[in-house]
Amino acid sequence: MVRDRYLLLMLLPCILFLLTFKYIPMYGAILAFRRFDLLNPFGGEWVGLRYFEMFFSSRNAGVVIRNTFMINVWSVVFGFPAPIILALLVNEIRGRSFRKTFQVISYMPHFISVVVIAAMIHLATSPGSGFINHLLASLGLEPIYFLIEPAWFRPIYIGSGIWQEVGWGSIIYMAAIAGVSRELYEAAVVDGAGRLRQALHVTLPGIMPAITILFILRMGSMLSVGAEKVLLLYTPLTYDKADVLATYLYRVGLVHANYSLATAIGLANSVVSLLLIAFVNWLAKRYTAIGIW
Amino acid sequence: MRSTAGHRLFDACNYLLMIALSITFLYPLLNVVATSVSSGMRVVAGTIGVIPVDVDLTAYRIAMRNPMLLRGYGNSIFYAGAGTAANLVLISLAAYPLSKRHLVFRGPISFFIAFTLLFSGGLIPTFLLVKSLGLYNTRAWIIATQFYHVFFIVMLRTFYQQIPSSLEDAAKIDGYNDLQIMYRIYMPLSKPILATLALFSIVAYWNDYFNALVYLLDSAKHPLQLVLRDYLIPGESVYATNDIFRLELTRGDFSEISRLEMAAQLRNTVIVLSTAPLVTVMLAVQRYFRRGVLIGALKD
Repeated sequence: MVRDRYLLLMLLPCILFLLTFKYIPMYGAILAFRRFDLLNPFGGEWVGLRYFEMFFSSRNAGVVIRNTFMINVWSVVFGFPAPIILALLVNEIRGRSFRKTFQVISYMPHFISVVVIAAMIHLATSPGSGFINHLLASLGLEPIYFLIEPAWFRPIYIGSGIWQEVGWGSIIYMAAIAGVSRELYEAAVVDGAGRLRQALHVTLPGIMPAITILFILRMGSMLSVGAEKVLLLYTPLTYDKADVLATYLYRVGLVHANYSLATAIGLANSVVSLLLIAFVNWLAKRYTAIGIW
Repeated sequence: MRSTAGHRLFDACNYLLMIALSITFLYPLLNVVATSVSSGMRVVAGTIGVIPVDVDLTAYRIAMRNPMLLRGYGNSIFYAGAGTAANLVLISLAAYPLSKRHLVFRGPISFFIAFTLLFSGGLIPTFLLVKSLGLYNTRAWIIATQFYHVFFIVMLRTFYQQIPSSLEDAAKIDGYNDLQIMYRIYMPLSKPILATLALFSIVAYWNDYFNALVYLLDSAKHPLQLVLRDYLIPGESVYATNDIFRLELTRGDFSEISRLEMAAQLRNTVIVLSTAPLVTVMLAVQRYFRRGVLIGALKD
């Protein structure tokens, strides 16, 4: 304690900041059980589970929970393997400068802001001047109003997400691949394994711990889709497929200032997410001995 | 090696695939750049690929003089610059002690920090707290929104752990205290990771619009991304009233048609102007995201 006093002093700003801006709001979530009160930021009269009942009995609850979950399911199905496959393929590139150039190009979309991505989607899919509809027209097809068709929302949201993050996401797997022992490859070559079998039987098992950890973390967010991008791409016409918990919470809480109800939605979401990650971590530890804690 | 023909076929396919992917990544970006410098008539016709046609820089001249855009730019530079400087100091201060295995309460403190990733009080309680502390609609809070990303702390801590402790012991004999050791020995040795963290932090500030949307009322404080959102995203608010170029375009130099054409060109121009700085910084720093810098986060 005395020996480490300077070290603890260095940690103090971090602890105070997190205590104030992360832990006090955790306590503040009791607002979900109380009526909002102008004098008390975290609520006055206790009303029990009233706001939870209000949310779960509304028609919107089903829609936003289903949408949040389905966007995640499709993101995992297409988006989770994508950077792994890309990393395995990049690893097979022999030319060093070609490989480096490709990697830098693949990182670029990651650095584009969500506003600009959304704007590019709006411009590219515009029925009048967007290049996608020009392409359709040149093929003799009818123009499609992509952003007001509910059915197109998920493919656009998930596809643009993969386009943006696949290159960046592969960095971590490239680092894991670099950590696989050379000797394992040499042994595989002696056993007559070709490149495909080296990739499948040496590289892939070698990066399995990394894949497992990232998969556990990914599972923890099966019930979260950030509001940022959806807010820029949806319209009331596409709410049926596009409205997610975070955007619904944003409208209820910040647009309509229904603070207690929005807090209840957020709290339910946080609790379920925490249970989910704990459960997946327990499963992973049980069957693979790899976990995040 | 066996089956050389098969190898060559695979290599050829792999190279072709990588080239196709590069085009997929680059085409939309180059299309925006080409559109921003091509004549508006061609833009509206939608016939521009990646090669500029009838080069015309009027849109850049108009955009770079627009007061709202410039103000957004200035605000974003301030948030990203001041925020990143503060962030690097704060993260270093937190990561250094955590890299010492002998630190008392190391486990509980690490858990205290990591738990904020697993559970959160949510948007509304944070919003109400910020309001009651008088931080709503302040530049200070916009800067604070990106403080202490757990991922950044873990990356730097893991890097510090790899620095041999003999350096620390020698410095202690010379009478350095912990702060001096961090500042004089650890930080100079950590330039690659500090550069990477600086880039991540700049990106976090530069590309954020949501915190500004939630926490800023005054448009004078809006960062570039929020200005762009109001201008570029057709939404619940009426498109035309958010047109930051309304004044320039109605001043009379433009006919109805050329106004539409210029508007189409301007949208692409502001995208280029807002994205180019980050891509430049990324290209300057990219040699540091070599293996090793990012693996740290994965280890624990």
